[in-house]
Amino acid sequence: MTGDSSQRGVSRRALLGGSALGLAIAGGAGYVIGEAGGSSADSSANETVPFHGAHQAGVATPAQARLVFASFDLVSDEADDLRRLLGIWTAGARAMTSGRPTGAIAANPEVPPADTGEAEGLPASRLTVTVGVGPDVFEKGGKDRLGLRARRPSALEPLGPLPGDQLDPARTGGDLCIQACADDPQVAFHAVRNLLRAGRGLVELRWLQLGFGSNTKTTSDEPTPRNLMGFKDGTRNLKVDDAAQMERFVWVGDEEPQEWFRGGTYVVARRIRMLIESWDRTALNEQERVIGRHKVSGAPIDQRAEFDEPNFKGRAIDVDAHIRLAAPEDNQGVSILRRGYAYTDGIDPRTGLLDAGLFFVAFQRDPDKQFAALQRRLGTSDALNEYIQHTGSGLFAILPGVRRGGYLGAGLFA
Amino acid sequence: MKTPELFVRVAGTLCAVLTLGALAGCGGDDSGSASGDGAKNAKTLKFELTDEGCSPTSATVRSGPVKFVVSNPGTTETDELELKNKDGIIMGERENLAPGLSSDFTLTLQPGKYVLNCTFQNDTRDNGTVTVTGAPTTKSASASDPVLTKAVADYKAYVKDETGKLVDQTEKFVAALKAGDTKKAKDLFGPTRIHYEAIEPIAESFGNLDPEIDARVNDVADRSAWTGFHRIEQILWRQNTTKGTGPYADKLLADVKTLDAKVDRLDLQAAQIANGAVGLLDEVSNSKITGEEDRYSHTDMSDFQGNFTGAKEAFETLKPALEERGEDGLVSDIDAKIAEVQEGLDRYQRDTPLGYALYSELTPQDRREFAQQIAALAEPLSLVAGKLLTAKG
Repeated sequence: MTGDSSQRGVSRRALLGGSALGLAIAGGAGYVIGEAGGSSADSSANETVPFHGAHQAGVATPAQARLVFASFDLVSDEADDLRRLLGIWTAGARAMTSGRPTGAIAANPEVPPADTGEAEGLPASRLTVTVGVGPDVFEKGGKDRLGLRARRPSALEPLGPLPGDQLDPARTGGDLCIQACADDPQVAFHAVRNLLRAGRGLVELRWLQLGFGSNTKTTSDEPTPRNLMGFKDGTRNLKVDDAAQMERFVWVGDEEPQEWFRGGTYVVARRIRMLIESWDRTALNEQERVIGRHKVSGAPIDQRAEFDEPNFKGRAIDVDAHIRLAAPEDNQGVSILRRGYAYTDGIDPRTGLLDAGLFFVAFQRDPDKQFAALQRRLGTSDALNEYIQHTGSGLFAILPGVRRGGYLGAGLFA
Repeated sequence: MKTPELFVRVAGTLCAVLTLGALAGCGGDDSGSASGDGAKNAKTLKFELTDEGCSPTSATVRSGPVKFVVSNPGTTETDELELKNKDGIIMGERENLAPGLSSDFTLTLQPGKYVLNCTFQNDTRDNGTVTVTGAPTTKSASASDPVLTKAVADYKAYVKDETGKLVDQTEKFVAALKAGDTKKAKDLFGPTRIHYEAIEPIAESFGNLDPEIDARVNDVADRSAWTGFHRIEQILWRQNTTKGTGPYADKLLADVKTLDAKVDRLDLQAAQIANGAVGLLDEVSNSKITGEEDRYSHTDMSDFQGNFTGAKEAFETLKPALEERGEDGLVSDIDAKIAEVQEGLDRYQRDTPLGYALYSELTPQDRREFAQQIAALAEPLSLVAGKLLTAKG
């Protein structure tokens, strides 16, 4: 991390001619001029998060208020189509994250506006666009689908069935993902919408999730947000401003034999529905027993303050309390960077009950050794399981950062 | 059916569009390749990107098509060139020019002063000027282009052919209704409509004609005034009779004859044909694939083919003009996507009077696939009008 490298004062220009999408695939030359993330939590609307860097933005970026997460299927089985798509997405993401539209809005009355326009006049709102590729890109049904099998990131293996899975196939999987985060939901939606449009014919949307409240603490100095269960979430989360921890648990480094993937990471996205009505009629002491923390203060059971170390040696924190089973101390030191958002999709039409919960997003160096290891434990024993259902799932290798003049995933085709 | 405003409005603004022809070359360019059009006659201005900005910093050129060739010799972080008019509006630009890369764009420039801006990231310093001398260019894209003139004539002939078939088929349909032959009337319903669906955007440009011929029950404010195909469809399938269809049959026949007469005086521009084709695909995705169009007879797949054929024919007439403008890539892209949709539709062809499976046979998986294919086709098709407005070289 290079400290605070974010910029202020850049607002969305009224661009009446010209287009930014396209011409994306350029030579590999260029230099890293800044790294995403590491900025202070002080977020003004005009702030932009640099697009270029060793890592993609949106991972070590202090969590923005809103999320749009989309999963796509590749239409074609040609590696060159994937390359073209990533070039187009790079150009679009680069423009929009700097507060610019993807192209002309009002250049020609006779053609559709190149940019859809709903973000016109809105500030960049710390927009980040983070792109990943799923396991099926490298191998599908045992086949070397795009001729890229030999380039598969080493830890990009399908998650396989996990305890607690009640996955809806329509909310699971995908060949590519885009995570768009911003402090303004319309800016985040605009980003995904325009990238979907630019990718028409190359990708189809598989599923899409909106997140309306950043639910996990991601930096040292921000107050801990609460999830929809009303509990503080992320007190013991990895912090994006702790470079050593990020290197240890999140960023893929020199140990990766796929050189092109160094600087990448893996995201696991899980749509975790909360059985809200059941939870809300659960007594306070039972809620606190299930989580292992006091509801209002956030302190571990039997402690006074939120940041007091939980006492896992005693029996005050229940044997199947969530914070015990999820704690690194109880999982051979394993940690993940959680960056989740609250979601609701209205009501479950079958029952009329609320369909709401946590859209869990976690970054790590090895999804099997980190997320899946934790979930194998939590999914069988966590007291919380009575109140949640994992209804959607996605695993993607987050591509390394983009150098200036380069494009996302360039190394994959080199 | 749908509301007619779009098509009419497009017709009304077309003259304004043509005088803005100069802008067509700068909007929505998406390929990064050379703009093939106009380039043949264009004067060329070459610029290199340097740390100081553009090199050279000024240039003079005569009005008309001007090709800007921008290169990054590889020693600078400057990676973008913008050309702006005196109001600061970007007329054309090339960006993300990594070291060693070169690209170009072509604009039709009117006399005046333009600002050049060779930038790095969000640096907005203006650092060059282009002076355009000579007389204003008045050449419009289509007026003098025989290929476009022929495209319009070809498409009008297609429309006339379809309205002629529509009248013939409607006469048979009406005869069956009058004869009280319910089965025959049902058999003729879809094969008659298909000719209407193929040219629906044309009908939409004639005010009330489209709603009177093709309104669905939820489209009308006063259900007692509901007429047309779907009014008859409701009686035929819901009540399984021809009784009560007489007045609607008479009006339908009169309306399609009016349509057939009106298309003789149709004043069309090439860009409208292109946008009409996109409109036909919107019809497919918004009412046929959802099964909302023919909700009593479930003959939507036949209507789908009608809309789709109409879009395909419209595109076919425009192809020579696109190829003349160097848009071969766009043409082959659209061709390939058209073939995919038709391949899918062929699977739903049946040896029945309708010729197509009923909507109920459409699987949810195919429904989604069609919707995605249509979206993938409509996106590049929506760029065609803009390409046609660019004067050929």
